[in-house]
Amino acid sequence: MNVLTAKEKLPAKSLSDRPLVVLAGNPNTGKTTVFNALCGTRQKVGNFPGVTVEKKSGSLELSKGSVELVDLPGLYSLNPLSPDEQVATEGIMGRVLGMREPNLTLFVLDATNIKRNLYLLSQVCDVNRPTLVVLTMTDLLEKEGIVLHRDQLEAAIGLPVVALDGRNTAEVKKLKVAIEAALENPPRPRVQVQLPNPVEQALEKVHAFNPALTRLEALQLLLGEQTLEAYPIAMVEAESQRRQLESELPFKSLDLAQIRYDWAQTVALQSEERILKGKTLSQKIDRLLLHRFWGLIFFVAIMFVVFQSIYTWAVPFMDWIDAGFSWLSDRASLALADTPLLQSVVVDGMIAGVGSVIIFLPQIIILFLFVAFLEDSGYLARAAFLMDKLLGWTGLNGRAFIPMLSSFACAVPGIMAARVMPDPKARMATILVSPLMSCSARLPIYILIISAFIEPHYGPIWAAVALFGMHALGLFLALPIAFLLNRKVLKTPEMPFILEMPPYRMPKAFNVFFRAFEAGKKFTLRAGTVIFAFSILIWALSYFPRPASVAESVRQQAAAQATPIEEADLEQMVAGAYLEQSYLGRMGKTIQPVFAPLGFDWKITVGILGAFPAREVILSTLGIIYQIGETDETDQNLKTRMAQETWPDGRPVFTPLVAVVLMIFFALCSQCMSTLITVQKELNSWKWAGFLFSYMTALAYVVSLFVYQGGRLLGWG
Amino acid sequence: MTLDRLLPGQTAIITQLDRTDQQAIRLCEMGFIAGQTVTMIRKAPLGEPFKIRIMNYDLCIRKQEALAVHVEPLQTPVGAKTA
Repeated sequence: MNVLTAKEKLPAKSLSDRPLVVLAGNPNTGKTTVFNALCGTRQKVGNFPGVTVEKKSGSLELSKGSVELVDLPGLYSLNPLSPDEQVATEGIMGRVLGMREPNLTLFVLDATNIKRNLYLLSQVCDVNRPTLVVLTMTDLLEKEGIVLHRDQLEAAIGLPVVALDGRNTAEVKKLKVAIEAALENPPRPRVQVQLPNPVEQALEKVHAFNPALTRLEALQLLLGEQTLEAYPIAMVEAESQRRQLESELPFKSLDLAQIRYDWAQTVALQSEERILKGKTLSQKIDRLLLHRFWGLIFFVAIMFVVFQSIYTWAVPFMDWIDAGFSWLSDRASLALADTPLLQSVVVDGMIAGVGSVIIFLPQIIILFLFVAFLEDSGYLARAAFLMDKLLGWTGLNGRAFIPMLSSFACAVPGIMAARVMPDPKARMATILVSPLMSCSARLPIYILIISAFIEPHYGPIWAAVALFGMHALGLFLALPIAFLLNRKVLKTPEMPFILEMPPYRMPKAFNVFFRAFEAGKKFTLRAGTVIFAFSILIWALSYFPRPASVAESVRQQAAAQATPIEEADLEQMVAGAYLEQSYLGRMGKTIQPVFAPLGFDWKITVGILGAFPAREVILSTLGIIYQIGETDETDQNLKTRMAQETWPDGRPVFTPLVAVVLMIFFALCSQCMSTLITVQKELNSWKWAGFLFSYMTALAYVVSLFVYQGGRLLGWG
Repeated sequence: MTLDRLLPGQTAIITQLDRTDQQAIRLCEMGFIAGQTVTMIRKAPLGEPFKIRIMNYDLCIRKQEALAVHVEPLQTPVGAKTA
């Protein structure tokens, strides 16, 4: 929609004329709780333009009208190190593209940790925009042995300070009143930190060249921390002032930090009293949870619960979704019975395609409930602490384990969970290796093949070994690949791993549920668009061309036989014949020579091609090809039929070796449209989605080739 | 000595940071300022990273970062409490 016309039509007050308030502060200060307390469900999640940094904006209803509230990502300093901090910094300064300059900054200050919070506040004050301080975590003060005098704090920093405990509705009301007052009568911050005279003089000179510069920007130019292309003349002046200052009084970023902290210390001394207490509850819990033995046991137990619940708790919900889509597809089949083409595109294309994607929704919601709970409770930081050394050598860090582990259930939520990683390159590497983890959609194929070709030949122990081996394979390859990606492809810089370990806290139910809801919503919207289109494409390839002569010749052959064939079987034979001569079937036959060195015949090849949108589709494709209809992994008919399958010269197609190779191929190949689309959305790049597809498929081919040819040389199979 | 050499439970005073790169600046911004007390709370099962207490909060840093922080250990018995 055109913005201009929108304004013309709404002369009174369009949405974009509303005052803008931004929420800023350190991570782990309860910023999200403040945001949720102010906006409730009147919020939406998107991305900041051009970056994959989550932007939460909401509508804050005040007595005189509504205000737009944007929750900026948490940050430790206006000298940003990660994209999150970059966006937050620009948001505070009013420099985000497509976003107005904020009318008010709500600075969230953790009452239990004011010194480090005040450091950031001293920087925010140097931006010189209206600022209101919101004091959070006040309910924890007593427990931690702290007495904080709000009025003394207010006097020391010269800004209004409002306390907010998210559960207390009276305090929420008070905060709203304070916001309203601050919008009407903006509280301008004063310069909190006076610098040594030569530095102040140099600042003044830089400032004189461009009065639009804030004190913070002038300081950053003077210290060479930032370059601001928008102010070329001021940059030149800053350069010469810096050189002059160096001879007079060496003043570096570290000195500035020291001076800011001196100020923070003074304010803290004036406004808080700390009573020495014994070990806090968090420290006591950590003695157990970070213990070199019990800590690891607990970690494994937690991860087992997460993993297990994605596997098992989701099943009833997935069954309902499956039943729902079956019902829908039955109704559609009946309603469209007169128009076979339309019936097939709706039932086999649209409903089957979207259904195969929506089925992941329960797993996504369950995983995100866990991720939100673990993160908000403070355990995620502990787990990262325990795992860091294990992943560190690959260039990843401890935070990567959540996306990687979740991917064992399903790569889609795993990739979305990679947002817990602030460094964009390490996050990209994590996203690119996570789909190698053996997800639950691979399980039906393993079970079918192992129970048909491994267990009968080698017994249940080797069957278990094979199943475990398939799950270990992805992880085993993912770490060296992450190493190569970080070192050779992405050239990920050595990032400092400085991670705050906040005290344990009980997560707020609303925050946890809302996050899971948002993740589910995002995924569903995706299924409705791109995945929908791809489903129709694959359907068309397996449907066309469709000359009536194919069905007729199958029926004629059947009629010529001595024993009558049941109608249901006949329909399967027709479906198989159509698939064989469809574009997909022809592609399978054409491409088969490529897969011949892996021991695959044209039927397996068609199965693989048809499985590129979703790997588990191979079961139904094989069902059609082997002419037994709808199947699942326990289907005896399918197993028998596959075991009987021979090459033209009579050798069996499925030797144990081919069975293992086929499993390896499925373990490593990129056969999931949902994953590719998720990667494309998360990295905002088709190029990397394409890279993921290419490298995984190539890897699957090469490893399968190596195993098949190696196995034959060793005389196996 | 440097921060990584502290034993678990040991407290020290920061004397200086010997690097001036981005990572050192960030350490400074997180509270690693000369004169502050710092406690090595524990080391991860595989030797690093470290859980450190500074300015009344806890954080985790790797050995790589700890090497930049020079400290003077306090003569307090291991496990003693400090503000």
